[in-house]
Amino acid sequence: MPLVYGQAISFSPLLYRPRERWSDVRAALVGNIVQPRTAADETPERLDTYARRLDDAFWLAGERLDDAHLDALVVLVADDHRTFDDSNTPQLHVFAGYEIWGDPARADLGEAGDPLVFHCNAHLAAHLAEELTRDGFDVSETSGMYTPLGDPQRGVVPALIEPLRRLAADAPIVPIHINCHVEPHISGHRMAPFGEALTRALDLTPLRVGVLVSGGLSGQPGDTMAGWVDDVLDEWVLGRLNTGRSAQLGRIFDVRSQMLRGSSREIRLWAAAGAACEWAGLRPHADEYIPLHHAAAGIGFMHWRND
Amino acid sequence: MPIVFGMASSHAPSLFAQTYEGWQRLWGRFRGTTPQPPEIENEGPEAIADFVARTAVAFATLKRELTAAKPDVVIVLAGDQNEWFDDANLPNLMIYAGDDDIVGFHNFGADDHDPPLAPWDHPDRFGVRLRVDRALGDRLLDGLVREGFDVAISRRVPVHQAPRRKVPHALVRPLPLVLPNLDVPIVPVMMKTVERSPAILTGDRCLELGRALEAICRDLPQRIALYGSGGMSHDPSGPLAGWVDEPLDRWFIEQLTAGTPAELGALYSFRSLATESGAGELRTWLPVAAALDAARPGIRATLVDYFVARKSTVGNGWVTWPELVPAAVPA
Repeated sequence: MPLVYGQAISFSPLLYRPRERWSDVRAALVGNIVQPRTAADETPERLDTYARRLDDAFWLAGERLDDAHLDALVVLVADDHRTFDDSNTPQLHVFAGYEIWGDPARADLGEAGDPLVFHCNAHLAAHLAEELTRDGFDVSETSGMYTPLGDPQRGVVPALIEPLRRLAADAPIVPIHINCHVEPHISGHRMAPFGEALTRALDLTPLRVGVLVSGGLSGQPGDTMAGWVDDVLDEWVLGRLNTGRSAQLGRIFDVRSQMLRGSSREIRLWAAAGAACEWAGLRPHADEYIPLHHAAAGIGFMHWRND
Repeated sequence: MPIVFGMASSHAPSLFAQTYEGWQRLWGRFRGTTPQPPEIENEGPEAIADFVARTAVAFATLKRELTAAKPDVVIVLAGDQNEWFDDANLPNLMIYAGDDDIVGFHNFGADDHDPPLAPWDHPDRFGVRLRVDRALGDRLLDGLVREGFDVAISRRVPVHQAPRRKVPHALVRPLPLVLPNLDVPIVPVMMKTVERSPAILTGDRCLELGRALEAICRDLPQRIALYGSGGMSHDPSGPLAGWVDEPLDRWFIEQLTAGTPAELGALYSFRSLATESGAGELRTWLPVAAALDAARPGIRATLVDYFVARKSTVGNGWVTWPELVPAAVPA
């Protein structure tokens, strides 16, 4: 059964906090970094509108995910020194254990610990690891108990936990980590072939499988230009994906720029998912985009499905 | 005679001001309403004086090396900012190969005055006349078109869209500082570098242009030099004004000094705030790098200087490539 559904959602802690906490989230992400001129446009009224748009986008994404009747969901995320530490940082990693856990609570927001556990499809993950390796991808694999080394108290990144919780996704997952934050990063040119190989591997299973991306788009939370968003880049990325040209995203990361740091590096995830869905013949739909300075990221929603 | 020498530099307006007050005026003009980075506080009179001194040394270095290369003609890769062209007819590539000289104005010292001097009101002081090698311009037009480059043709100095400024500043501002003397003719190869224009040359295409230029020039009798004028990262009056993209500039320079210009082909293959700004002028450096690399594979550029001057809103750089064919030493 081929890949039957794809969903991509930017990640920012702001997306998973109530509107009344957005100022606090902004303070945590942006601090006292000088903000771009357009940040002043984010008035309370404007932010209320954004909150409604995001609620709608999440609701629609959840409905579509339900409608897809998935047996499993591959989740593409970037680790940020939570699962891995500097003793062993994989470029590509398939988690083939039975459950994974993490705690998305942020101490800087005064939040109490809130760990969640997600069931995983270890069998499918092992199959993917084997097939991807045979297809030329030198994946690392976890086949035992989940043991986070980077942050043993908090486990897997919130980018994996938060959307699954908000979307109420109940299919077992297969977490796949793509290295976006430890240099040297995996080449952007590897993303399209990786996505295609992923779909080929899924073709060999009888399962209905979806892919979920959580990460990006442009932004540098906690960095020297936190709060600045490259909306030109984001809209170009969404435009390419929306016209089935994910392979063109590969060259972005051949270039070095201040604007390509931080979460911008996670556009790799979108490139991989786009290629996987294109290979499966799914139709792209760019659903939403907000260059949201409070979130310190460009916030995009896309999905792929058979119409 | 192949291409014998190459160089490239920034040409930010501030680089032609000599005083702190001049820099302050230009900063006020180009920062627009963009909130400025905190590092701007470090650019007081002492820092500006240092920038002024380094600028003089850098341009003098280019002039000295170009003079030593004894060029018969300099092909200048340059952009236009509503000087020769406007939206009515904006080429991606254009070569002027006409009989008339190019006449315009530099701005050296103009902004040190209070109020600033308008160069066009003082032609005796700021006037620049550049000779053009029409024959080489014709060769380049013919050769590039034959090689699949859709170069616009100019036989007459374009109708001035900015009548008082007359000529692209990428030509008339830096050339008086770097040409051995203004009698050395040029061929202006104009490249579209304007900000936020999606239909614009990719990095790969700019490199191909350089390789084609080298191939055309290889068997010509003249000693030909190349000069790329523009960049580095900057976004005057734009959303990133003052926020110099030093990682981009340093990466770019690294490829030139490592002799790996092909790595720069990815530039402009996607759209971004970082590359749609004045950083688009780095397109003018790419053909120079590719041409020199084609003439001598792996040739490494020498970094003359680079500094981030946020009050100029520009990452300012100067590079040269080693002379490829030494000029004959007089007996």
